[in-house]
Amino acid sequence: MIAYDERLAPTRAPLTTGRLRALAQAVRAGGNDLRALTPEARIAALDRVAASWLTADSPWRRQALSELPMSTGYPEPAIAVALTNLWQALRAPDLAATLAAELADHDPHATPPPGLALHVLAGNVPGVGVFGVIAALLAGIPSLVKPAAREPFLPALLVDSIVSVAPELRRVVALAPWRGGTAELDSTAAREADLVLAYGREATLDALAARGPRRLLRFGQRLSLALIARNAATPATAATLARQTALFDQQGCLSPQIVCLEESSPAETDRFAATLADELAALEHELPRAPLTLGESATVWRFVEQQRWRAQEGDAIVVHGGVDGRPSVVCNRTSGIVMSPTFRHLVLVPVPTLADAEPVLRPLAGMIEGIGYAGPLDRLAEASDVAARAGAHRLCPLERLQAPPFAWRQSGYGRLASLVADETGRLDTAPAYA
Amino acid sequence: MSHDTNAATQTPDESAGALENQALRRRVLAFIAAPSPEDFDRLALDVHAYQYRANPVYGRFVDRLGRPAPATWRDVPAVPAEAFRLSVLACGPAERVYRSSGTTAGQDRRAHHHVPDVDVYRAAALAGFARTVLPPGVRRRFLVAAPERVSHPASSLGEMVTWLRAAYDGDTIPSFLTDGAVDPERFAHTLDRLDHAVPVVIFAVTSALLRLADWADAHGSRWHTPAGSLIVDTGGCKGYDRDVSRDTILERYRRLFDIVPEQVINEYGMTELASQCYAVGRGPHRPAPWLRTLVCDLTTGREVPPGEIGCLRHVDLANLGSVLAIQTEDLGRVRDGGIELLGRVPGAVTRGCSLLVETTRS
Repeated sequence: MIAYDERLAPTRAPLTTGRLRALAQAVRAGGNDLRALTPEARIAALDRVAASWLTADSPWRRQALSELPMSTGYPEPAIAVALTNLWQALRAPDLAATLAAELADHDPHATPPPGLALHVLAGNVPGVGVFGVIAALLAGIPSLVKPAAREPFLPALLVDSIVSVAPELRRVVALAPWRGGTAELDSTAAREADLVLAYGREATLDALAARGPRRLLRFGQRLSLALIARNAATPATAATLARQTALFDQQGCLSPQIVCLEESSPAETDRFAATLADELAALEHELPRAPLTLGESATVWRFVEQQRWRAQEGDAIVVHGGVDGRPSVVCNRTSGIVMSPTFRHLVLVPVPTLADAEPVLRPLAGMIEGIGYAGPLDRLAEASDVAARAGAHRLCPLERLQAPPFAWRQSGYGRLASLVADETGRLDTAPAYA
Repeated sequence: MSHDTNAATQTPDESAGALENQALRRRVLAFIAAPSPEDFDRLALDVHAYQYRANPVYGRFVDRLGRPAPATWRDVPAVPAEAFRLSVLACGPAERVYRSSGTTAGQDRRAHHHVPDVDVYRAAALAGFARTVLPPGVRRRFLVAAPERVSHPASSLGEMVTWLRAAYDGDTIPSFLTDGAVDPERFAHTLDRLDHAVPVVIFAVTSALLRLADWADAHGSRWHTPAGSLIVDTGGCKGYDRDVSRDTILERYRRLFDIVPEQVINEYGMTELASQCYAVGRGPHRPAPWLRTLVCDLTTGREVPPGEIGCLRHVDLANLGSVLAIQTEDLGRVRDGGIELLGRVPGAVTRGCSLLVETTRS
């Protein structure tokens, strides 16, 4: 029988400083129960949670599919893909494998895990930060989950599902809603937690860092790209890339913004770019773009107009699509870098060989999260070399870009190792292809 | 991309273009001197046709759009204001090149407006001021806290201020802006010594007056400006620490100068535009008759219904030597027969951990 602790009573109302402190202390106090569970028991409990999201009649999934289109603006099919990808990556075999890979040598008595983690989530892509919460619980770290202001639903459902399906974890995870940027609450949270995992804009992370958390793992702004080998520039690849681009309107760090295409001929490149623009436009029916703010619309407009203007005035740029705010593919053959404004606008850079993508990506050092590769497996070593040189944290088949595995070294952090030890998990070799 | 049109080596086409320019110049100047609204459409279409031929960059822009020739001034293809950062948009060699201040875009990405015929700009600036602020022939003492040509030779505002002073000011006290910042002590010293029988025009960038108000608050200073005085401010809160609403600004002016809102006139102009809009007190901005402003949806390019917010598109006959129609990212809506300005479109803010980088160019 687990005693009821009123400090853990679920709340979606914003917290006061006193309640936040009490909640943090209550969750921290549950740590002994969590660490008393064997790793196998934790995996089993978390697997039950994942399974509860993947059943046909999952109440959590049903509610998420109803609420998240409103909070995120993404259409229900995109939310459905996000949820399926997320929870399929959190089944027992993956949790066990990551635990074995990262914490096999970890002695929790010699180096106790942090007593409390605070997860400060972002609202850009559904599920961002859920891996971190599951990882913390798997590593024996009680967790407070602070939802993003614009997307409070999935974190609430996450905590609800854990508490309902895995009662042995009910005292070690709680929702902590407050308005980010509220100095007193931010400082209290930073003081109470031993470890903060924060997602979102660099300015948000800087503000959190200024609150003096004991340890801060920064999951800041990054982008991804598609790397396409010569013979893979097919209509099927264009369709796959368009879907990876459209799923979350390029708002995630795993969203492709740049396409490095190994060129067969300029005519083939143009054909591929045009097909890609057509595929993006066609997806507007199945996966309509989230509504844009005035500022976002203007940014997109400015980008498209500027590229068209440059093309008109002789720069080696071709704009495919982009009429009336529709998606575009900008083929850039200039020596300068052109950055996407996101919201389904891709920049395609033709390269003579895959290895030539490296100088193209050099100005983006430290900004690249993932590379989706389309090409023959016997050229994977070349793609892997590009990924290592670009400092990417993930290399995967193009169609898997938005479906990361639990072991993904997100922002360069080892999923579990970075939680229990002061290591960033920086890659000095190419990321695994998965 | 400016074109050399040396009279000694002009081709027949160039000669025809020069003649066309002279004819249009006379018509535009005549319109500015005595506007007849029914002539605006024909004149705008003729200016557009001339610019299509004489401004090669604009011609390429129009060709790229591939639309039918405009049937009315509302259909004239408008270049994005951004184009003034990327290209030289002029119908001939520039007599002046005005540059934007570059405070937001960086020095290397400032807009530059190449003006082949400064007289048209001068005529528009003076006539616009005369219609709303002070009739021609009146003399007033100007207290200026704004750029002037001598200190800011590339500033179109500075040029206008210099012309206004030459036309109206019988005194010419040096501007209270020093190296771009207001000198509150010197400004206050002058205000302390105003002759209460002689009205003045305080012409200033808004941020300078707000800084003067801050200084006055800190020093307990207030002034009673002479009856009949006017404040003409411009530039919004650019250069000030924070955004301040127009109502707050008017209230600060009231406390600072003992002046009512009807004595405050806001000027809206752009480096890329030869003409201006003025707003009296809390009223909307009204363009001069030779400037017409549409409120448009940036994405579709179409006008938004009256009262809805959109981005301003200006069609300015006084831009004869560059580009008639310019699509800006300034927000506004139609109100009381004028335009309510609502600032610039805010920049896009990333929604989370996606990376959004402003387009760069090496």
